Amino acid sequence: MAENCVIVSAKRSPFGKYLGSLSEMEPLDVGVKVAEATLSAPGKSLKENIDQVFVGNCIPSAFETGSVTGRQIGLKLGMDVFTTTVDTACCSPLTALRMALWGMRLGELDSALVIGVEAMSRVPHSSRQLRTGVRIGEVKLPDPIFPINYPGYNSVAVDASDGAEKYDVSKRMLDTFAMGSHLKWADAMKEGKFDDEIVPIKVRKGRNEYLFSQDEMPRPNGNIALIQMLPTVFGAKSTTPGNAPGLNDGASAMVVMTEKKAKSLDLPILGTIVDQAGETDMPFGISWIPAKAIKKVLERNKITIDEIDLIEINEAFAAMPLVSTKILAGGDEQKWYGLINRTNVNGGAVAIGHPVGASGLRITMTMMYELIRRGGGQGVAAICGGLTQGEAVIVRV
Amino acid sequence: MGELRYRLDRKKNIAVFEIDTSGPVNTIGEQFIADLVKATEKANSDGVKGVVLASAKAKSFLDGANLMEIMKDPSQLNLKHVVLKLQETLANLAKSPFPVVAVLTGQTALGGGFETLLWTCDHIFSTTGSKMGLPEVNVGLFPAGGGPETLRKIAGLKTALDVVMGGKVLPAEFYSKSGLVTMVSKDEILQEAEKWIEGHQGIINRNYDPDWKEPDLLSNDERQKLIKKARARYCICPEKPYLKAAMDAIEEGLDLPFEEAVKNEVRHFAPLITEPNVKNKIDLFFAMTGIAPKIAKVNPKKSLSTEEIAIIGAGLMGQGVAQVCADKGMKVLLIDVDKATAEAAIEKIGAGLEPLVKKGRWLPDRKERLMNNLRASGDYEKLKTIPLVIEAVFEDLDLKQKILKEVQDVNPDIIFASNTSTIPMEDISAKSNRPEQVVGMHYFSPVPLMPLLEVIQGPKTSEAALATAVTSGRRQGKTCIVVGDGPAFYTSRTFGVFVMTGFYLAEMGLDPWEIDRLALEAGFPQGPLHVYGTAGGNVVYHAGCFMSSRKPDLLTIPESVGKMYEAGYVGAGKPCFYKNGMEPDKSALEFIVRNSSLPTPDRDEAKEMLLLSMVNQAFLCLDEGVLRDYFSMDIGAILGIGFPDCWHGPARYVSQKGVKATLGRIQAIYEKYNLAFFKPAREFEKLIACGVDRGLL
Repeated sequence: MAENCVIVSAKRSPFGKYLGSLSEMEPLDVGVKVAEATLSAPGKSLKENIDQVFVGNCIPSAFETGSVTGRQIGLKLGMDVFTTTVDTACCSPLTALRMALWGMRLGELDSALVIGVEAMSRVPHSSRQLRTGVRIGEVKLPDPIFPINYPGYNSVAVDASDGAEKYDVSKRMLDTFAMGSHLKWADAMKEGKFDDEIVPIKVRKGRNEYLFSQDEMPRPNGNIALIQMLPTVFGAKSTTPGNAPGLNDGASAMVVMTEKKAKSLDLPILGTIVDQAGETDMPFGISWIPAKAIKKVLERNKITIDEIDLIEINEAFAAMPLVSTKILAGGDEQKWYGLINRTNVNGGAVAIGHPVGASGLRITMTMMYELIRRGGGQGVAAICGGLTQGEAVIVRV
Repeated sequence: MGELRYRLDRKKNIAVFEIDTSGPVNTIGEQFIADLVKATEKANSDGVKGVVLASAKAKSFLDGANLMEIMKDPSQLNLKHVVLKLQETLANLAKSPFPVVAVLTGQTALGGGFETLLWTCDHIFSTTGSKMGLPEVNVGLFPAGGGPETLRKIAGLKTALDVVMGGKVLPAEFYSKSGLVTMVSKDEILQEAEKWIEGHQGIINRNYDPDWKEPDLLSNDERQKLIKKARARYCICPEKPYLKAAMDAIEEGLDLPFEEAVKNEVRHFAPLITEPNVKNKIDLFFAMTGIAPKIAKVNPKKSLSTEEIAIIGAGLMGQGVAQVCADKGMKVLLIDVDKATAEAAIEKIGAGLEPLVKKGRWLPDRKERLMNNLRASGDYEKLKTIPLVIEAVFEDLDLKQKILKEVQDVNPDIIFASNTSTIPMEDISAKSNRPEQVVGMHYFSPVPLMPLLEVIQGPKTSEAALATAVTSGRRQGKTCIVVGDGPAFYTSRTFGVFVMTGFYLAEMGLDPWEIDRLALEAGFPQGPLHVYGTAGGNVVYHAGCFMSSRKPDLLTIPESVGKMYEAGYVGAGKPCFYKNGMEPDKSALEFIVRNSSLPTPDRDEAKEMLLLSMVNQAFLCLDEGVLRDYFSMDIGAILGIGFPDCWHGPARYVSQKGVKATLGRIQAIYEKYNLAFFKPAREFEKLIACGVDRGLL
């Protein structure tokens, strides 16, 4: 049997809103700050004990030089170990985690630092025309994040709302779940639940310098009725700014090890990674791919969904958790409500924000810390990625 | 000065304060107050002979506080500061040595605007068409800019109570009786004002005149009687703290000197802003003015022309719709069995409008234009060229189907709008081969006064039919909500269950008149048994029977309703629970069938049952796709069926009480009394699953 792999540290930055608190900071530095805090969280620095670094990121053009961004972060951390930068869109940080898992299971690694980082506020408009010069006519400056789509395919907002329609999830349900996300975040915030995972970061914004310590996106004082009034976007049937997350900035990081190594270093074990799986479907299947990925990883481990205490499904749109839980419930309405009740219990990306390359680790640690607060259990976290790939991870505490 | 221009006529030495605040109507905010302070100082330092208050806006003189500004910082401290500052400013202008007069040319002076006039002006000149009043209680506040005191000084306590507590806005003519207001024509208004100033140099503002005699000055006993009566009438519902605060301020003001009385108003006023139900009323005001006009989402490009309209059925509803359409400039063809019947109906419309013209509420040419837009006919052939027909005949499926067929035989392209309160579009269009042309337009009686129109989209209703109904409805000045198909739609169903709950409570052993009183305490404008008579027992009975035939698992008609109906106890001229308006008619008791298998609820639970009967139906309508959004739910409930406005509507009620708590109460009532319509809506469960316990609206 392969090595038992455990999480010994997990931290994230507060997530900034579009053009908000993190928007004037180099994303490399946000990644470095979060990684530093993660490495030192167990009470001693783990820098010397890391075999490799894996970094997930979705839109590299936000960096000054969008190549080997992971290695750039690693060197800034003073860690000269092999560093892999991966892009599987929003799946990136969980794919990075899965690669670390492979390495540990193969016996090549005993430990790894995994990072997810994104800076959507800093993505430049860009033009291919300028390289050769423009003889006559306009220069086009396309915006790669408005809307987010891939050449030849629908925008993801359209695919999400088509999925909701296919699985008969009403717009009111999407809007209700979206409002719930804000309210659940507010309740969790009030109870100080995010203190376990958030690393406050000193930021500069305009002339102000301050400690950024709380997610910036949530609007718990709104209501469903107002969300219902918002117009749909990009030709989607039900997707509106109200049932989607924003364009956000942030980073998250984890240190994972073999259980043996963690014990030898006398480190606290926060949770065990039971297993991970990646899955794909037709490119428009983005709303239900979390369900497919979850099914795959659960079946492989002979666990049923009823044995799962907590579910995190990233709210790329409110459609993803709703469509996916409905599939997992096998269409049983009552069972569906039961699953929704256990999903994203402290709010999700609609409220907290979705820095696309950082969310995968965020949902995993948010779930893990909630399991710890509840005195243990097992949870599954899943995320969808562009052109329909999905990642799912089972964590046991 | 940004919101108030100071113009001095040096020859006459009279200053004009011209009010022109930002926004479509003039409102009182911090900028306006600052400008008024400066203008008053300037008039004093210029040593003017007098000041004329005027407005640069066509329809608005000065219409109360800037609510948007208040809601930006809704704290007691801020509100107290703003109102005291306004009072101080008004006092300084009033105590200035020169006379102050106002000129209103067909404009409105509401709330703080009217209080400004009442406090500072020695005289007011107005043309016809101007309106003044103190509607603050309608937004959950009360006039604290001296209104209760200053109005009493010119109109007496009784009128002050009526206007303040009733939130009334009245034509300028009403106040001319007091001697404060003089009606003049627009051409000579400024001249008259200046003449008045010339003739009244040295006048002391009446609010500061120790010799001023309040009209209808009553003895202490008589005053106490009036106060007690007003308290009983307006302060019955403890959920409306603004009415109690207003009453307390008025009563305490009776024994205080003017300057202390107005300060005492602020003491009662400022704490209101922290009350949730006051916020509900303010939010409701914004919902009605900002959101209601656009909640029905239709594509206006799909609408057919609304210039011409036909109405079939010249009864009370048909006449009402015809009158409203003609008043808004549409050409109306009113059709009944024969031309003579339709003509008689048009005559009736004219006769009904005559008192309005006589009283001066309407200008004669408005009525004339309206009447010119009405034509009578007994012939369907004329429908060939008309895009929209509204059918307003009896609530009878066969009759409606028959008329639909006859209409579509003549003009298959016409949009057929049925004015029905209960019958689904699916049934009405069941035998038609053009069901997409059929849409529902559910009006409320009396049509000219009720602002709501419930537009019903059947499963086959086309986008064009829906857009035409909504566009026409909006042109008629109605607030439209679009609902899905189903027996009794949203409003009739919810209202019907409310009335039936009243009867069930009586059958459980509560005194019928006590039930109505409890409803008033809960904030309803009228109790369920009272409403049974005023809405018409016949209508209620037939609608109830229809509902229970279509949804037997939802509603069984209480036996007592049938007994009353059979005995002819149906109100509207016939006996009912009340005689001569408000006097209990105990003979109705013999029809109440006591159901001893059910426990008798206590007073609080009975009140809660009345409220929750409506709330649960509204949410069941979400389950069934009849309702789709929370703004339509709340606006429909307030405008159409008298849900207590202090709660803003069912959605806000649930938000405030909590979804889990509400579901718990409905479930408990359902289990205790075994009434099917209390079976909780599934929507509650969905909300809870999604983590929503508040924040619906």
